[in-house]
Amino acid sequence: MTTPDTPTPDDPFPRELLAAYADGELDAPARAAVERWLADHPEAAPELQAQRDLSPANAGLWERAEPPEPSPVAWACVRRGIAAALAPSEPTPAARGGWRNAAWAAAAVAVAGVAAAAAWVFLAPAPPADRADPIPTANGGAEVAPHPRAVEEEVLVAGFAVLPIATDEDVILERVPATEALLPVGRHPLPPVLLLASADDVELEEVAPSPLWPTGMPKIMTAPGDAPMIYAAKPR
Amino acid sequence: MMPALLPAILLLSPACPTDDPVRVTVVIVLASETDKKVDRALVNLAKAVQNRDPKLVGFRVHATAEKSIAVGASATIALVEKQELKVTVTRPKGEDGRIALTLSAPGVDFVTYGCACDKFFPIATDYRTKKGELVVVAIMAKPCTLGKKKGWFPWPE
Repeated sequence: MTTPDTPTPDDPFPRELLAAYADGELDAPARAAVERWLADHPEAAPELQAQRDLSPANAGLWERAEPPEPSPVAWACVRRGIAAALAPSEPTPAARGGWRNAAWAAAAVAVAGVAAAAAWVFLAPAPPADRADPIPTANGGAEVAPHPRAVEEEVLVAGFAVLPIATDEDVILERVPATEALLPVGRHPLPPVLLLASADDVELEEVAPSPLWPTGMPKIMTAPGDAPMIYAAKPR
Repeated sequence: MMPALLPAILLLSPACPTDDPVRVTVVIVLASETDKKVDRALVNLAKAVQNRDPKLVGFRVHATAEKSIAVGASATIALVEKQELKVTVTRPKGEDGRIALTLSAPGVDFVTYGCACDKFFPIATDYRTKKGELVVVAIMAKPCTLGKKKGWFPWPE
């Protein structure tokens, strides 16, 4: 080919511009520069035409292309790197300086990123069947990749060897709907049987005047041997 | 001038919630004229309500709510279908062993009463649900003992 792909002192025009020109991606000044160069280099006309012929096919190719999916091992490396960077560590005299801590954290994240990138590069090109557990290794054995959920849980419990579980004393149930289901924790506020107050237990102290009971309702209704109550319901 | 006004200002100030909070339990009950099922916890309440209206034959717990309310403070508890019960702790447990509450519920407006601790006081509101069930609430107050003792008094664990 007579037109080089990279600029040279004799021909400084970058070929990427020609492809962008063919795809209509250039702004006005760049488009004008390319057109001037094409006028001076008529031998580039076939190359321009080739680029124009390729553009529709390239568009379809870009639409069909999907970014590579990171493998479970790659995700595991990334998550371990994040967890390692976030986990509290024993402070040492040398590491107490603020900028030093930041530098170590940045270095840990960078190492994790490099490890993740390396794992991605080496493992992502594998066909879809190879990405399922287990992953074949070079010696013919099988390496069981960590389950994504297990990896996620490992990150969630970072800092806790065992998850602390609340006891009945730690939980206050403020509202419990009527249900037959057992409560996993906490004391149900409903007693086995409601013990009603007797007439000696209750005293009505004040009833504000209200249009709700123009005829004197409600009152604490009592009867011998009966539990007192305020009965505001109207008979149907 | 200011020292002379101070007692009047203190008298006019609303109750300051300085005492230990009161634990208020509200059992929300739906009473039916058709469904004859009575929840076991409501046998006493069902008898008391039926003495006023024998047509009500079914009683079921809709929900149970508990709140710690400081003396002088209020809490609003949702009942059913956007109906609410407002509870204000008017007075802590006194020498008579009673805690005073002021209630506002459907059909009951600013009623203040004193009741012995650990006893439920029922109120039959005037609200009926879309299914025709009457809303009854049973309210109990006792000094807040959270973290001080375990289990229900007088019911064993």
